[in-house]
Amino acid sequence: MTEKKTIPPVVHLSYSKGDLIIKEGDYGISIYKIFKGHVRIFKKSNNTIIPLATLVRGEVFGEMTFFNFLLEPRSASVEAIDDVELEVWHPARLTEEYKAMPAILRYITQQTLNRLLRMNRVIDELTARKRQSKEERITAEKKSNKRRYFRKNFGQECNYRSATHSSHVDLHGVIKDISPMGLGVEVIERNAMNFNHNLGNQLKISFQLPSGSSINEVAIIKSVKKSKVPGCLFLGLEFSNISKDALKQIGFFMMS
Amino acid sequence: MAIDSIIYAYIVKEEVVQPNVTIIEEDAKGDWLYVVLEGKVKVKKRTPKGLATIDTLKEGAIIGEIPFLLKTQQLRTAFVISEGVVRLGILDKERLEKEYELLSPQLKSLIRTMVLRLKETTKKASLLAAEL
Repeated sequence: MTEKKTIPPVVHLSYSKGDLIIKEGDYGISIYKIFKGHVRIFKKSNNTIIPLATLVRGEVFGEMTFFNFLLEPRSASVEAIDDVELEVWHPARLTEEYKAMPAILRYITQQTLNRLLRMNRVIDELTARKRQSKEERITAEKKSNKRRYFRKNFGQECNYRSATHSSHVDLHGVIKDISPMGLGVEVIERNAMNFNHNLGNQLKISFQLPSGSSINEVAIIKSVKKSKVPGCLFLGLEFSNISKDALKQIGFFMMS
Repeated sequence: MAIDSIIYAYIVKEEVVQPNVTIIEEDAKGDWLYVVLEGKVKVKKRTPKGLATIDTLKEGAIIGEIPFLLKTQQLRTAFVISEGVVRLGILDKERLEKEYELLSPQLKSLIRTMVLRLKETTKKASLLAAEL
């Protein structure tokens, strides 16, 4: 029959901030109720911490192992966020009650447990995929060295020179496209006599917008291609530390 | 999957729903419990990027159990939508409630904790799914 007696607390335990109360993967049988303080539940997956929940006074943890009939190790770790006092329940009498409760309630509870375990696995997988796709995106961006922003076609002449070496020679180019992040500039190949068009090189570039505003900024070469025009190169440039004013002026131009 | 006989004893009514019918609507009020007798249903959640499918349930699955077991908050936590033609059984909520109330406070708080955890992890999973 269903047991309705109150189960007396077996033990009271205290933990300090940062103490590990339950370690993922360990075997344990106790169920804990928070009397004071806060705890953090988290999982580790590929050295990444996945926070699952923060629990406060009155809440219970350690229930997963109980509903798993103590067959599985702890599915997550629990850590004290501040000074924590816990009431520890021994699962024996609760197990008796659980086994004796109406079969349909056990069926629903077991199904809830299975869904929870599945959701935890889904979170693990999605977190790993998210991390992987972020790493892949960063790698791909580094590899391609491309500017990935909307660019407005432009046909404005510009002057440039090395930003790192002193030079008195202003080189000439034509800005073919522009975005708040950078420029696409067509230059004559033989400009290389005065400035090396290598990836990563920095140059000072100056030009005028149709509004009359002058832009003088430093940019870095992100890509170098042969231009359709014979004897010319097409440089993909990205502004480094563009000034707020220049950004505003280019923004206005982009919207015009 | 065969339906367990213990569930049949609690079915008070059966319903047949056509494909793509919303059986349960997220955030709507209600704590009826259903069992899928035939067919499949999809569980979906609202995310900033639209609805994300988080599970597909088949014969034998109980649906709508979260508000029933949480009691204090009887709002549906997800959409349940029929994939094809689905036959549903509506469970005797009053009988289930009476039986649930007989459980000790400790066991009820354990069940409630697990249901809350399911609610939180489902939300987290749906947000992650929407980001990818």
